Parts: sequence; structure tokens; C-alpha cells
Amino acid sequence: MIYFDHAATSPLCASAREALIRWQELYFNSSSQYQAAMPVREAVESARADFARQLHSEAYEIYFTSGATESNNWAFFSALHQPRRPGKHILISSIEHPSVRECAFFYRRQGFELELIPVDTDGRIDLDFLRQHLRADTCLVSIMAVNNEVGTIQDLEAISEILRNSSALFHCDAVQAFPYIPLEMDRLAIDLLSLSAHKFNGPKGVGLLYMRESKRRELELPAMLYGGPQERERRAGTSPVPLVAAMAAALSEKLDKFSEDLAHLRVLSQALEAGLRDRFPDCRIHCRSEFRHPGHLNVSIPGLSGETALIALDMAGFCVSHGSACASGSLDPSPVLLAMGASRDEAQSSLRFSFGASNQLEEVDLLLTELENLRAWNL
Amino acid sequence: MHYLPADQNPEIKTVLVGMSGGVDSTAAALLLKEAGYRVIGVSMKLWQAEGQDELSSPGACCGLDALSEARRVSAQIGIPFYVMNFKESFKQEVVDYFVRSYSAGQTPNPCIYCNQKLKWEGLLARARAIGAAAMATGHYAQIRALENGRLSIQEASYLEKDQSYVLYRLSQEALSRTIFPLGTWKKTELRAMMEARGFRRMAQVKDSEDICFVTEGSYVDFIEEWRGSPEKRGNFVDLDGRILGEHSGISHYTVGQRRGLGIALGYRAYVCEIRPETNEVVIASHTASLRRRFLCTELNWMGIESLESGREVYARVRYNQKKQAAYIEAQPDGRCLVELSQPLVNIAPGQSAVFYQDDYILGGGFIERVLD
Repeated sequence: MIYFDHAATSPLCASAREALIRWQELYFNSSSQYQAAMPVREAVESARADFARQLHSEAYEIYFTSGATESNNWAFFSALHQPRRPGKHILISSIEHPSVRECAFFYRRQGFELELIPVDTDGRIDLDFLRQHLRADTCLVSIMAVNNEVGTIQDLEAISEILRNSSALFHCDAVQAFPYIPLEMDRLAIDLLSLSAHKFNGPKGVGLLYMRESKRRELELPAMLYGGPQERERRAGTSPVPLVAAMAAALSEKLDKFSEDLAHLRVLSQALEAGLRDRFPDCRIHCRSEFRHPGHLNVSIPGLSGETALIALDMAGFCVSHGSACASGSLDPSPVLLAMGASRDEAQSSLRFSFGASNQLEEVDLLLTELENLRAWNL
Repeated sequence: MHYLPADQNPEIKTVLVGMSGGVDSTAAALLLKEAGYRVIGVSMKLWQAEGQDELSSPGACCGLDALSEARRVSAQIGIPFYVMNFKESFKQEVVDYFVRSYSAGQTPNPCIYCNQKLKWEGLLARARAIGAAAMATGHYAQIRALENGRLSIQEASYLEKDQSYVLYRLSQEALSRTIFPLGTWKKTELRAMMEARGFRRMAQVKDSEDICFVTEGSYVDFIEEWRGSPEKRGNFVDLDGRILGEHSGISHYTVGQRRGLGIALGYRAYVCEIRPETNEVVIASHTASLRRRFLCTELNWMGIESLESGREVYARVRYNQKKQAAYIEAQPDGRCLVELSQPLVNIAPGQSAVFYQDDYILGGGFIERVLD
């Protein structure tokens, strides 16, 4: 099996696995007062400090959650249920992950006014549109750092410049960006930021929400879950210590190999792009490489439907994805690609490849050969 | 041209099985796997109401729970499973046709169209694209190789489950790439076999029925919403043109209908004709509604290459209706004239007439016009 779907989830790394087991065995509740529980609480707090350091923020600005979907929902909840909400206007990019998009649609049904920021053919948002449509009553702007389907990296610095003095909260779903794209909260105007452990070789079921403390205090941003003192009384529920510790372990292992892994992803991505252009001159790679996260590549190959290709590749031992599947698993034309100006055919025929450090260059060659066979068979 | 049945074709090694999560298609997949085929389970996502999530929009055979069940039983059998998206073509080929047909005063059978256009032509094309040379379903029907070199569908051994009627539009090419593993099975025995094999959960799934995409309200509500215009009220008239009352729109009625007319005439009244051009529904007594002769169009011949002249056959003009003797005759314009031995009150334009020789299908077509 060759796994090219790291944007969906990534394999658990050795140190995360070790931490999971270790902290599962040390079973104490991190909120307990006796000494036996102290190391457990310390594991959570040191993890919090690790992520704070990585995000150039304070430890008390990090809230552990069950994952990015919860973090994204919380971001919307806190921005839209704050007592000092300036109005009912929301701006999100037109290529957000469903966990942001569907939240926004939910609030639109509740009477909020939602505008989608258009993107260009690379998936980069229209900064002028953002500038012009940002209003005094805008309460939330949500723009992802790296798109999960095509890998587009947004210009967070430029967006920060626009939003810095606005009364709107700026939420950023940074799941696909972390840790390769710099996310420094002391430089960017991001107020809320979501991360998920399983995208960087940590365990499933844990993530975090960064919440800028000055905004939390000033706007009295509400809690997500009530019922306990955990996470500064903002997200009640017994801390999943093994998951939190394993997430921190995954980060640490990732940082150890940061430069070489990043270089390796670039090599893989360049090899795949060159191979695709060589063998399928009519293919369309969504998002140019200069704006793209090196782990991602999304391509439409004329004559090859995404659904057929995905099944045939699966049967040949390749795990890839199409980008947009509904609950039952049926593939729909990707709304992200449509928003980027792709035709319905292109959106229907797209394939997403996403790499991890464990992928090998030879696997890219095998994939290219298989794709070639497949198209020959389908023509 | 001589067609080889798929289950006798040595070149067919990989078979795509259309799975619904129900006992029949699961059994079909299991039986084929045990017969040595490489089996790929596929469910077709046909329908999802506009603007609704999948849970709130349960199609009869492609709702969220059914597909999740299909995936689970595939894992239990040990075959790969995929969901294929046919939503666009279902709308174009089946739903549009359904609404158009009712709006034109006809009584459509969407399953027949869905079988031809999606479950066979559509699915076979995609089967081939992923390397499966044939497909199979859990229909209770059999494929029979005739002496004239053609393939036909033979009624199931156990007639109460026979589904040959809804399959008459399949082409020879489609039949040569189709396997029906359940054709000789009795449903009760199949259920027992599946339960004994550990498929307990799904052995209890109810047989699907009704129009799969109409899940809320009546089919008339659906038509009105799809078309974007309400049904127009009009007159019930008798055969002499006298106005008997007001009807609530022609899509509410089908020829032969007796219940739900909402008028009292002192005799048992039947819908005997629907006239879209004048928006009238004609009502008559049972005797006056009986008809024997009608014209069929868009014929598909299965057991024979074409109909040259006249022929004695058995015919069925509705699903689940008893076959009866009939005489069919080719018309110069390509249509087919049908004369039943016994008159009926429910010969409805839009429904299909299917012709049988003994127990296999000769062909069939859409009822276009009822004569007398």
C-alpha cells in the first residue's frame, strides 16, 4: 500500500505512540488534588507550553479540544455569542473546510449575514474584497491558512494588516499549515486559531484552539462546554491526558526533523508535478507551486473521472482522495475547485495527493505509471 | 450475433455487485464471491434532495443508513466497497422524466427507466472503467440463452418475487454482462441461509417499495415543487363530455383508479382516461372503462431481434399483474399494436406493456395510446 493521503490523516509517530501508552497507564485525573496526579497535570501543562512556544503565544491562550472541528465550532460560537458582538456580519473565504463553511451556513440560517470572499484560480483570497467588505458590524472573519484540498497558502501577513484594527475577530483554521508554515501570534492579527493533532502524526481526537487573551477578556468570549474547571473553565470535561501528551510528543518529533522533512516534501511534490506535466500535458494542477504547501497537489486529468480513478488506484494499492465526499462516501464536484473557477468536469475529475515524510520518491514514479495505465484504459 | 450469458463467459472474472444494504444484494455478492469471482461492492448514490443533508433526505435505496449498512456487510463478506455518485444523471434521466410524464397525463414507472439508464447503462460503463467486465444485482430474475442466439430474462423460479417486468428494457449487450445470482432462490430460503451465515442484522431489512425519491408528502407535492407550478384543477367528465365535478389536477390520477376520486355518482366510478390537452379526467363505470387494444412505442426487443408481423404472446401491463394472452402486431410506423384477450380497466399510458413467450421476455414498450 502506498499512502498519499496525509491531508486526510497521518500515521501516528513513534514518540506519540509511546506517550499515548505511558499516559494511559498513569491513569489519574489531571484535576485531582493529591500528589499522585501531579505528573499528569504537569504533562498537560507542559504540552500547553510547547504549543504556546510554537505559536509565539502564552500558555493560557491554548485550549485543548477534541480536534479542529470542535475548535472551529468554538471559534464561531465565541465570536457570535459574545456579549459585545458588534453586529451580525460574517466573512469567510469561499474555500473553507466544511467544519467552517457549515458553521457559517448554520449561523446564516439563524439570521446572520454571511459573505464569501472570492478566490483567484490559485485559491488566494481577494484582499481588496476583504478590505471593501469589512464593516463596523463584522463580528467574525474566518480564513484558513492552508487549504485542505489544493494546498493554497494564504497571505496571512497581508490579511492581518487589513484586519488588525478591525472590531471583527479573525479566526484561522491552520490545520493543514502546522507546523511547516510559520504561525506566530505575536506578529499576526489572528485572534482564534485551530489545530488538529492527527494531521502532524499525532493521535486522533485531540486538537486545540488558540484564543487571544486580550480579546477574550475585553469581549468576554464565552465558554464552549460548561461543567468543570478544565481549560480555564472554558472547555469542561476531564482532560484526555494521553492524547494531549501524545500531541505534544508528535510536535516535538516533527520539530526535530523539520528542515529535512520539509525539503523532502518539496522534492516529492516537484517530482509529481514534473511527472504529471510530462505524461499528461493537458492536465490542470490546481494552485501554482509558489502558493502551494509542499505536501499537497491537486490535479484534474481530462478523461479520468475522480471517482473511477480513486477506485482503480485503491485496487492497485494507492490511497488518494478526491477532496469532497458526502456522508455516505459519494463524491461530489468539489466546491473548493468550483470557487477557484474550475469547470464542473474539472471539479469532478480532480485527485488530491498529499505527502508525508514517510513517502518515497519511487512511490511517486509508481503512481505516475499507474495513472498512465489508467488513462490509457479509460480512453 | 450470438450472445454468451455472463455466468458462462470465462473472460468474466471480476464482477461489480450493486449493493443496497438489503438482504438480496448482500446475498448476491456473497454467492458470487463463493463462486470464485473477484467481487466489488458498489452502491449508487442516486438521490439527495436539494439543500438537505443526507440524513434528512433518505432515499429508499441510497439513504445514509442503507449505504452504511452496505459498507458494513461488504466488510463482513470481505469485498471492497465504494459509493458511486449518480445524482446528476438520476435527476436528468429519472426525476425529470417522472415529472414530465405525470404532467402529460401519463402514469410513469420510474424504476424501469432507472434500471435501463442508470442501474445498467450507467453502472456497466463505470464497472468497465474500474476493470469489472460484468455486474450483478439482487433482482429475482434469470437470464436465459435462447436458441436464436439472443439473451432474455426469464421469470424468477418463485413468481411472487419475480421482477422481470421492470427489467425488460435491458439491451443484449447489457444482458451479456449481467448475472442474477438469486434467480432460482426462494426469498424465505435466502433469508434463512443469510441468517445462518451470520448476516442477522440486515436479514431483517424490509423490502423497499414506492418511489424512492419521494420521501416526504405525496408524489403530487413532489411534482409541484420540482416543476415549480401547482397542479391545475379541472373537470371530471363522463364519456359524453358532461361535467361531473372538479378534480384536483391530473397528476393525482391514474387510469383504472377507483379510490380517492371524491365524487359520488351512484355507481362504482373509475378513471377511464386522462386528457392533458383539456385538463379533463374522464370517469366511467367499470364496464364502460374496459379496454382491450392499445399502441406501444419505444419498443425494446429482447427474445427476438424485432417484431416482423403478428404474434400470440402473454402480456403484462402493470407490475405485479397476471400475464394474460394477447396478440401483438407490428405497425408500419414502428409502433406495436396490442390486443388483450381479456379487457382491463387500468391500461395506463406511460406504463409499460411487457410481452412474454412462455416464461421469458420477448420485449416490451411504453403504452402510448389506448384505443378501445
